[in-house]
Amino acid sequence: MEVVDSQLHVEEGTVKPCLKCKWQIADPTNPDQGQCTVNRTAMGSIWKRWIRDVHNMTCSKHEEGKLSFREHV
Amino acid sequence: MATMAPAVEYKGKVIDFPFENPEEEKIPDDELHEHLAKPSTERTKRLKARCRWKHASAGEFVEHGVRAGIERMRLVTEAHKASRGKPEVTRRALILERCLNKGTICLQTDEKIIGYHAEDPNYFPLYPELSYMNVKDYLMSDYSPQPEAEAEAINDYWKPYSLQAKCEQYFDPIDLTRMYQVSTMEAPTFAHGYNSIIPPYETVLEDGLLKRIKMAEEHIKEAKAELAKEPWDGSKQLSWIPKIDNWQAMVIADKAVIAWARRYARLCKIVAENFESDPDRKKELMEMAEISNRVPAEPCKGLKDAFQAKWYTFLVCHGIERYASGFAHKEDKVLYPYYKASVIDKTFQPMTHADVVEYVEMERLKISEHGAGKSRGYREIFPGSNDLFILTLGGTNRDGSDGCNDMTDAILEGARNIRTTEPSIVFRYSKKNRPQTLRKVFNCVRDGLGYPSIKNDDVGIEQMKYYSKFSMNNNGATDEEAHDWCNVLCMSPGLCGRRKSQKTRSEGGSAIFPAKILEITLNNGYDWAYSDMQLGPETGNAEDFKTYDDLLEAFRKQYSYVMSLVVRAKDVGRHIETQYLQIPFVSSIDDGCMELGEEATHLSEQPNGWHNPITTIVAANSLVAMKKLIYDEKKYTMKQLMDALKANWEGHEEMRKDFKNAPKWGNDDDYADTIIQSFYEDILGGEMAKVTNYSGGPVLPVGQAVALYMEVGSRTGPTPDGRYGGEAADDGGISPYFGTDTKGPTAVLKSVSKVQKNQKANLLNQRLAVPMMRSVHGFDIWHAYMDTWHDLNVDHVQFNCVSTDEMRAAQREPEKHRDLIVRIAGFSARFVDIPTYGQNTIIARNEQNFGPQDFEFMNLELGQ
Amino acid sequence: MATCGECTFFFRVPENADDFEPDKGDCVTEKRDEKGTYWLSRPVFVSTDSCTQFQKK
Repeated sequence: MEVVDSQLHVEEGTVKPCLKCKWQIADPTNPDQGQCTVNRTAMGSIWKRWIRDVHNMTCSKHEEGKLSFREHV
Repeated sequence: MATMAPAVEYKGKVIDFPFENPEEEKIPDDELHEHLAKPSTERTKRLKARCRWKHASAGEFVEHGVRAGIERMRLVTEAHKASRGKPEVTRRALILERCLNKGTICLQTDEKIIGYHAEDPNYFPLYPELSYMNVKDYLMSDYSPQPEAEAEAINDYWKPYSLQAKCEQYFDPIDLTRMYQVSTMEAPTFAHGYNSIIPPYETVLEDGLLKRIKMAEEHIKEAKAELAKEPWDGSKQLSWIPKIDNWQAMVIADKAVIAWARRYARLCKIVAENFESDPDRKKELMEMAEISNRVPAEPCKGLKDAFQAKWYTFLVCHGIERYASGFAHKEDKVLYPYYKASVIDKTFQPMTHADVVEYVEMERLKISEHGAGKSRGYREIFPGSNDLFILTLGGTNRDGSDGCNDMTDAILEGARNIRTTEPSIVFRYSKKNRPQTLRKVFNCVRDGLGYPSIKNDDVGIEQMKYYSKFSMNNNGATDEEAHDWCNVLCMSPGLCGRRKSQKTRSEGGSAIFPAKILEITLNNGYDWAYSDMQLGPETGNAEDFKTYDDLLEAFRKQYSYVMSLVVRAKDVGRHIETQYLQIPFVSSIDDGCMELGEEATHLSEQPNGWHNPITTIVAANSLVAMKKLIYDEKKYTMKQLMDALKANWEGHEEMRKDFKNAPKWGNDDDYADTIIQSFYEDILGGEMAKVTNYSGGPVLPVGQAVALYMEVGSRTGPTPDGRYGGEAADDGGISPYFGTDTKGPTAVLKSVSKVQKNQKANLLNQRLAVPMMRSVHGFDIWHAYMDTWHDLNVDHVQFNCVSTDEMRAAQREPEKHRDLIVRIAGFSARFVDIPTYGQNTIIARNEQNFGPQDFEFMNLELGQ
Repeated sequence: MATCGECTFFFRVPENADDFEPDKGDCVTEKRDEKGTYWLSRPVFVSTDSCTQFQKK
C-alpha cells in the first residue's frame, strides 16, 4: 500500500515520532497510543485522528513541541 | 454601564426590568462575575487566595507545581508484599493501615478542617493496584512521581495484580481496543481506575468508629461460636469464615483511621507548642487537636466535630483506601443535627449561623485543593475541575415534609460567598421547599455559579422505589427510605444514609456515544473518521438501508453490542473488586455490611444500574434529517449524503443547509419530537433496560455529557444534522444542540417533557439572559419556570447565567477573569481554565430570553 | 551520622498513643512556598538516619 507522507503512517524507529509532535495528545487510556489534533478548522474545531503507536508513527506535518491545554479539546 | 433587559408588553401592561440591586447598573457587562465573590471572613479570603487548585484541562494540570506523589504507591506495595498469605480482605485492611500509619500528614495555615491524602499538599496519590496504563501515563507525563525509576518498578510489580490485568484476560483484544479508544463507548473502569461511591457518613458521625469496632468484635465472637457448634454442618457453618475475615478487616481499618486522626491531633498540638506564635491560632490548634482526638473515634457532638469527622471519612473513602470521585451525600441532612446542637441549642461547640457559613466556605476550599490521581481520559473530560465533587441538598424528608433547613441555607450562602467551582451542588426541587431556601438557590443560579443543578425530587423518589423492586435480598429502599437520595455524581440519584448506598462505580456510570454509533452504523460498523478500524458488527452500509426502519434496526444492533460489552466490563470489574479490591473501611461504616459480615464491593441491597448516553441529540437530529430528506421527501439519496459526509460537506454547501435546517430538538416540533422521543424511549432506554447488571436490576440511561460532548465530538466526523467533522456534540443529555432551540425556554421544556419512558435521568442545560435574571422580576420568573418544569415532570435542569461579552473578555484577558464560572455539564469550571474549544461551546449555547408566550405558559403574574 | 533522635524536629510519640512504638517519633517540619506555610509530619525512629533538614537539638 502506498504511503502518503502527509497522512499518519508507520515508520519503525522514526526520529520524528508522534509522541514528540506538538499536535499529538495522549490517548485517553493507553499512553502508547495517541490522538492527532493537526486537523483544525478556522472556526476552532479540532477533528482528531487516532494514533495506534505514538513511538513508531509519523507524518510530514510533524512539529516538535507541546501545545498548552487551551489549544487542545 | 450594565445592560438592562428590554421592557416587555404582557397582558396589556409594559413590564420593565430594573436591576434588583441598582448598584449593578454601574458594573460593565464584561466584568460582572469579578464583583460577585464575597468570602465571609478574612480567613476564607486568605484561604481562597492561597488555594492549591488542582484543576486539569485537556489532560494537563492548569497550575504549576501539581504532581503525583510516590508515597501511597510505595506504602501500598510494601504492605502488599508484607501481607502475602493472608486473606485478601485482610491484606486490603493492612494496606490501608500502613498508608494511615506511615504516610506523611499535613497541616496548613489558617485551616480549621484538617487532613490530606498525599505527602505534600501540592501532590496527589496514585493507585497502581487499579490501572497500570494510568500509572504509565503519569510516568510519561510532566507530573510523574519521583523518583521515577522507583515508581516505574512499583508499576511493574503491580501490573499482574492490577484490576486492569485481572480483567483484561476475560475480553477479546479487539473489544479491548474498541473500548479503550473512547469513541463509541467509554473505557471500562478496570482500564482507568475511575470510581464513585456514596460513603455512609451518617454511621461515622452518629456512632463513632469505636462503636463500629465493638459491633464487629461482637459479630466475630458470635460467628466463632457458630463455627464451633456441634454437630458440624459444613454446608452452613463454613459461610462464617469469610464473614469473620470481613469483620476482622473492618476492625483493622477502623483502628487505623482512629490512630491516623489522632496523628493529626498530635500534629496540631506540636505546631501550637513549637512553631506557632499567634496566641489565637495556638488556641484554635489546641481545639483542633482535641477534636481529632475525639472524632471519628467517638460520636460527633457539635458541628466542628461533624465537619472534621466527615472530612476524614471523605479522605479515606475517596482518596486513601481506594480512589473514588464524587462528594455524594445529602449534606444538609447529615449536618443538621450538629447545626442544631451548636447553633440553635448551643449544647456543644456553640457558634452562630455566620460561623457555620465560614465552615462551609472552608470545606469548599478543602475540596477545591483535593487532588485526584485520575487517568488522562478523566483529566480531559472534566476540563477546569480537579474531579467531580457534587453534594445534594433540599428535597423532602422521609415523612414527606420539606427537607430544607438552616444548614441548607448555610451551605448555599457559603457557596455563593466563596465562589469556587467545587463542590457542585444538586438541589432536589419539591413544591414543598420553603421560599427562603429557594431564594438562596436562585441567588447562586443568577450569580452564574452553574449550580445548584436542579433535580426533580418526586422523580428521584419514585426511581428509588422502582429499583428497590429488583433487590436480590429483598431489602431495597422502603417507601420512607426512598426520600433519602442524593446524586452519586453529576446526574444519577442513589440511596444515601447508613445502609444500601452505592459503593462502587460498577453499579452505574460510564458512557456510550450515540453520535459515533450512528456514524459507524452508516458505514457497516467501520470508523473512517477517527480510528480507521472496525468498531462494531457488520450491519450494512447506509446505501443498503431501504427504509428508515432498516437504518434504525442497524443502529439498534450496533448500540446493543456496545451496551452488553460495557456492562459486562463493569460487572467483570465488580467481580474482581470483590476478590482483590475490598474496601474494609467502607464495609465497617455500612450497616448492611456490618450486620451481614459482607464486603462493601460485594453487597448490593439496592440496585442502581445506569449508563450514560452522551451525544444523543446529534444522533437524534441526524435521524430526523435523514428521515425527512431521504426517506420521506426523497430530496436526496443516501449515497449523496454519504458523499457529502466523506467530503465534510465541502462542495455540498446547499445540501448541508437543508440538513442543518431540518427540524431540530427543543422547539416543540411534533415531527422532530416524535422521532426523537421514540429514539430515547425505545432504542436508548429500551435496549439498555434489557441488560441486567451485577445487582440484578435493569440498566437505564442517564443522559449527561460531562465534557465528553467535546471529546467525542472531536472524534466524530461530519453528521447528517449538518454538523462538520470535529465539531462538539450536544452538551447535555437532552439539551438541544447549540443555537438550534429558537422557540424560547418553554418550548424546550415542552419537547423535553415528551421523553418519560425507560429513562433514569437526563441533563438539560439552559443558558439564561443575565439582565432579566438580575432584575427585580428575576426570582419570580425563575420560580414560575421551575414550577412549570416540575409540573411537566422533567427530571433535571441547570443554568448558565453569564453574558457573551464577559466570556469574550475572558478569552482576551484570562488573567482578569479568574472568578468567571460557567456550567459545562454536571460540573462547573472557571472559564479561563478550559480550552478555547470548550469555551466556544459555552458561548454557542442559546441565551434564552423569556417572552410573553413563556410568561403565559408559566401562568406568571408580573407586577410593574 | 546524626540520627533523628538528635533533631529539633523529632517529637517522641507518647506511650498512650494508638500508634506508639518504642523510640518512635513524629518528624514535624515547616515548609513554605508561594502558596503559604504548612507543616508535614512523618513517622521516624530515634535511630533513623537524619535528613537534609536535620537541626541539632
